[in-house]
Amino acid sequence: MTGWTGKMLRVDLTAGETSVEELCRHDLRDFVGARGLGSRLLYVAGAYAVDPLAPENPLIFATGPLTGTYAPSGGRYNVLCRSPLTGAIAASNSGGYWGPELKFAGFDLIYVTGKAASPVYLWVNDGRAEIRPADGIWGKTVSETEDAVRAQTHPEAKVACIGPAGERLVRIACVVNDKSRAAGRSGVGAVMGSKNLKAIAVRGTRPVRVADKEGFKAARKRAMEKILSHPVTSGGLPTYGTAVLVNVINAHGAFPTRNFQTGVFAEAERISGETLAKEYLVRKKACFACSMACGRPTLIPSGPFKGSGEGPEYEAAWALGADCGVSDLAAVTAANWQCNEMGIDPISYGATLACAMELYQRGYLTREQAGREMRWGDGQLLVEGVRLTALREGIGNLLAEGSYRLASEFGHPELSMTAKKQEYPAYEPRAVQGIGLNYATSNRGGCHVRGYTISSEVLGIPEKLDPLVPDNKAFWVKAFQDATALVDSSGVCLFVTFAIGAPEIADLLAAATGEAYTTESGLLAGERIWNLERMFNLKAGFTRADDTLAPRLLSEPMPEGPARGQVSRLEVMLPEYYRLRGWDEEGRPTEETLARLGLKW
Amino acid sequence: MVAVPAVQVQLFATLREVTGTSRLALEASSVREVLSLLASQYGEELRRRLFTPAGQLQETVAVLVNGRNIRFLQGPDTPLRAGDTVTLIPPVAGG
Ligand code: SF4
Repeated sequence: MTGWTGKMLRVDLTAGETSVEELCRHDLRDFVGARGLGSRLLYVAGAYAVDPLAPENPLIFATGPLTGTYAPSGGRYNVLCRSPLTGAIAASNSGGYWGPELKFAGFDLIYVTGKAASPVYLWVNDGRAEIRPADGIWGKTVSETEDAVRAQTHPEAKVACIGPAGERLVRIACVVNDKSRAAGRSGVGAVMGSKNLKAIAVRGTRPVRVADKEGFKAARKRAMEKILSHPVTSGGLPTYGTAVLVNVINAHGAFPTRNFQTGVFAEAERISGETLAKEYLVRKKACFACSMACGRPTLIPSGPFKGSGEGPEYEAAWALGADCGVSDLAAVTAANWQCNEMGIDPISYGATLACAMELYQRGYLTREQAGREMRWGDGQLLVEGVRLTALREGIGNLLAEGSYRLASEFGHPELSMTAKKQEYPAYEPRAVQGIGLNYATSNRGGCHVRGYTISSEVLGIPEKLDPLVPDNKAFWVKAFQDATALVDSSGVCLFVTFAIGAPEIADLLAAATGEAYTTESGLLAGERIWNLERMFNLKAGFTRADDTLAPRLLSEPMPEGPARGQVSRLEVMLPEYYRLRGWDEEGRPTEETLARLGLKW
Repeated sequence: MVAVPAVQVQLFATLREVTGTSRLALEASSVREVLSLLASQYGEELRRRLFTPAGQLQETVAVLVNGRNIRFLQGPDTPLRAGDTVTLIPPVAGG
């Protein structure tokens, strides 16, 4: 095959066996790869019915047909399973170099089931695989693990692993590859930990073949021309990284602050991308085949948080900063490094700490219960809390469960800023209407990269929409969600879509795979994938009642700023969204919709 | 004579580098006036970033008045009152 390798590595950790299987060409074509293909395999396995932390939950590391091909920013892979945080389908996307290396080693994906009797790591070397004991490695941080595994395998091996958080089944643990790129959300690291699987090292030397070399070159050139001439992908993103959004989103009054109590953070400037660039930025860093290089290695030369690492990205700067009321950029930066090292999702960690701080502010969580004060803006707590959470020590044991379980424990689930128990990212639904609909309907719970309407509602790409009105947002949310499902499944980075869209992706896919992808069939595949994920969640027990937002966002008017007086108009947008999707009033795809998408099995 | 309103101007990202400042005070009664005052104060480099060769505001530059994009107000003709904040955002993105 071309584009795809057509092969998957099956790993049964209970039996201690590995085997190579052929992938079905129809599935590859219809579900594209990565997120789509992984979802298809999870669905077929009936993963919606398993306990997420049981050996039966499949853990899938899946690349797309463009991963490792020199398609622009074609370095992505997804980690999929049933999420221990949400109970919904989890598909977490990461960049770096690990995904391409898996393709070079001859596999589209690794499908892990079972549980090893004692800690192990997997070594995949040019088509062969071996399960090895991880005795001396278990317990190590992410960078220590990576170095140790590389020392035991190959100096050029790429490593994806969990930190101490995944080992302790922290529900907001992530899988980290290349030391600082993370499949961050939905607790996929805990599932890896539940299997006693510490790391997967891969090495490959076989380039990914494409069906039509000349056609691929031409499609790549057309896409690159757009990326290199668009002011955002050639200028804004490479120059400032994602954290440049701190000031921008704050200026729109859409920067959630102190657990979404308001949308304006008075000290935003201090944690902004501009300040980060001035104070701590060392250089820029790119993932495989990426010209945008949004990665941000950082260094703090002195003071209590002295050290070096990577980030924060925009999302982390927000979650660890404004959401916790912290304006000390050194603390935010150091906490982000700690999240990378411990293997914790900084969005969910920051948001869960913010929830704890609000519980404390309102007297629902006492000093005795927390074992310490939990005050807004406490940078020391922010940094220390990461380790406590990863090790499940003290208050960390509660934070490790995510904000929904934490807030429920103290009798106030309404203070958890989550959808389907997953923490929202860094945009206020009261100030940006479409993104609220996206959070409520996202198949993996609170998430911005399932349907990034911020692109239109705030940044004006491809078209400027008024963030404060609900009109027509259902249409745009669906369009963003379907296109994103295609992009995520192809193996390129979502950030290319600031400059290119489905036509360019379809051309690349067609030239790489030899399948007749078009803009229409590509977007239809995206819609198919979206509906398949939805079917997974319905089978997992989710209903219309779960397509909602925290009560605060629906009923408490925004207290200040440009969106003052606004609430989320979800009740207007959601029925329209169901209609446009071809779902019934309960949010279930109708028979006709399933038939149209080829999902009637 | 009516006094010209004193407004705050906020600049982000590359616009800071071009002007060497993140915030300044101006007297202007419309967004259009703010933009032309800035262009004359900071020269060709800034003018190029804000306006097309035909003198239209660049599509990719966002201008906010008190956090609202002027597209949803009265465009460059949006009037200003004393104490208003005008924010200029060059093309940036993230996620
Ligand atoms: S844009 Fe950023 S995240 Fe995406 S591939 Fe490039 S460096 Fe990686």
